[in-house]
Amino acid sequence: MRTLAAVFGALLITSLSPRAEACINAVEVTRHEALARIFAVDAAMHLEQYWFANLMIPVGKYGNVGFLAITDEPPPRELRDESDLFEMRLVDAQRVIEMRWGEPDEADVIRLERYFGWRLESDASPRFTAWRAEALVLLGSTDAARELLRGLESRDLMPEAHAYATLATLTTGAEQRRAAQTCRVRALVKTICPPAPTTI
Amino acid sequence: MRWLAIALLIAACDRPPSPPSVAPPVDAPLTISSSARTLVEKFECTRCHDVPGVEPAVRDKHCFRCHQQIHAGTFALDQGPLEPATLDRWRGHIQSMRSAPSLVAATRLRRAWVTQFLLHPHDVRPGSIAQMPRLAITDAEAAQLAAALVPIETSEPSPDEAPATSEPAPDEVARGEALFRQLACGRCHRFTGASVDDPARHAAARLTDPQRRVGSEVEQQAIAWTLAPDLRFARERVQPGQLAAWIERPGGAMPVIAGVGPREAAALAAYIATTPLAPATKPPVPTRLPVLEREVTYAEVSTKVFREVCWHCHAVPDFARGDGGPGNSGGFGFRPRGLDLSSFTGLAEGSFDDTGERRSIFAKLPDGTPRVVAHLMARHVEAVGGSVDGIRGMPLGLPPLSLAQIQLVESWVAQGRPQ
Repeated sequence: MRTLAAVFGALLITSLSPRAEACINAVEVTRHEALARIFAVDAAMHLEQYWFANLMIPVGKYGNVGFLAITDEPPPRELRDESDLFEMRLVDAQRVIEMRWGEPDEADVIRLERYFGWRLESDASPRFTAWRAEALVLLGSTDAARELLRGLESRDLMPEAHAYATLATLTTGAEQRRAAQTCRVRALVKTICPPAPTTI
Repeated sequence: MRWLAIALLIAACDRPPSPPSVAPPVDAPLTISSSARTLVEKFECTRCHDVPGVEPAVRDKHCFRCHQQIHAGTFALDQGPLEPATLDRWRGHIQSMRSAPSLVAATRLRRAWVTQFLLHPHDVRPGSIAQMPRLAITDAEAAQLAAALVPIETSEPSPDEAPATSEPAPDEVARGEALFRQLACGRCHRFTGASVDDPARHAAARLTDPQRRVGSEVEQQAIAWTLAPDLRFARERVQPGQLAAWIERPGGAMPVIAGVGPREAAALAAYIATTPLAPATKPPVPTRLPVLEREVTYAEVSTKVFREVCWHCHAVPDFARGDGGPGNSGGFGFRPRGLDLSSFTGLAEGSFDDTGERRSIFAKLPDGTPRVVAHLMARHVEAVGGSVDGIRGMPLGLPPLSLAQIQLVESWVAQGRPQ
């Protein structure tokens, strides 16, 4: 199965290869095994292929963070080297996959929400904010989730279509319609978006 | 982008008709004081330039080194050297960023000109795609750097003043023009505004063989053509007394010209420094194209714009060994902006403003222009000598994007940034 994953990953990477590949950034992405894998995982997630993205995440292959195994400890604030950075990128992906596809129980969701909160403490990026909001929704903390997403949406910083999909489930009226419509524009797979409410 | 580009001062050939026996400070070693070294490090001059006494930037932060190593066949990753077929293919892709002027020869320039060039860089070298970037440098910092690069000046005239201390004889100027034509200086040098300027001949002399090898004669010729400055600027750029000396005994990319001795150099310098020039013409700033009606997807705009150019400097640290490029992790004296143009999510996450808060790069400015479009259009303004308050032209140190590329970005934004 992992071989199949690797083949599919290679195809994805090929389709995503930048034209200006003779540059160190592009070289790293296309030639560096860990980065190529991260790219492929991201691509699969954009395509909502979580089962496949999960297959491409190797356990314990990169870094010494040791977070690819599910733990209930805060991730390290200071990463030791780039291999730790690779691992944390994959850990983040794995947590999102678990949240969206892994059918987590309540204890899992509590752990996931805590994880994204920890990540936000060290990197207040919109993606962690949006992922934490998704986890909060699963926990029933819709007010807190709505507040986080409205904060991003008002500043035009929603990182991905899933954030709009989540916001659409938390709002009504024009706000819901706008979120649902934007989700449909920005999503590669439109089925993740709730239908926009019809105008009366 | 990246990466980027640049081209500080330097190179060329000039000097007004002072006696060629004057020892030129070109030969004086350039040493950087500790205070100036701080500025060199702050603005990361060594990302592009060789600076005496200062360690060059490491390869992955250097704007030219990868391209140079690819052409030299020495490029390698951690996993080892790349296969020759790959390097050959990459050589064919590389269009620019293969050579930057060394600062070693900056000693012959006018300090005031260097100061102004640091503050308001413009296109001095028509053959070079990369240009000196517009840095966030203060007047005092520019003056301090210029003083370090030009430690000795034979005189201190302002750039508006006539550079020559004595008018050359008319016959010497005429002889200089004849030599200019005879030696085919115009193959490498534009001399805009002068009667000898021949853009077609200059363009035809460009060596475009992407497979030319490092160290070969062809490579040296190509570098000389790329770095040859427009001689229009020589009279304001080079110190009086240096032009002829440089022509006779050039350095940097300028080759030694057979048969040019002191008399010939003096005549050429007299011509370059005094021949009448037509006023410089400024093309108008182009107007944005209307947004497209057809659908524009992220895949198209990424391939044709963001990953074609922008992500060389605006990537994500994971992709470049902890350094997402100067437009992400900071560099050239700029604060880290955290801008990642390598992915859909990265684009959507915006950049840090001056207070460290994230802001959308698509937010509309007061005139309704999306911020990212405003930065791209500002580069067109800079290209004709202007600037836009509060908006730095992008791509930094590179020519403006085409209007069609900017149209693509604006159309994608107008359509709601579909993936």
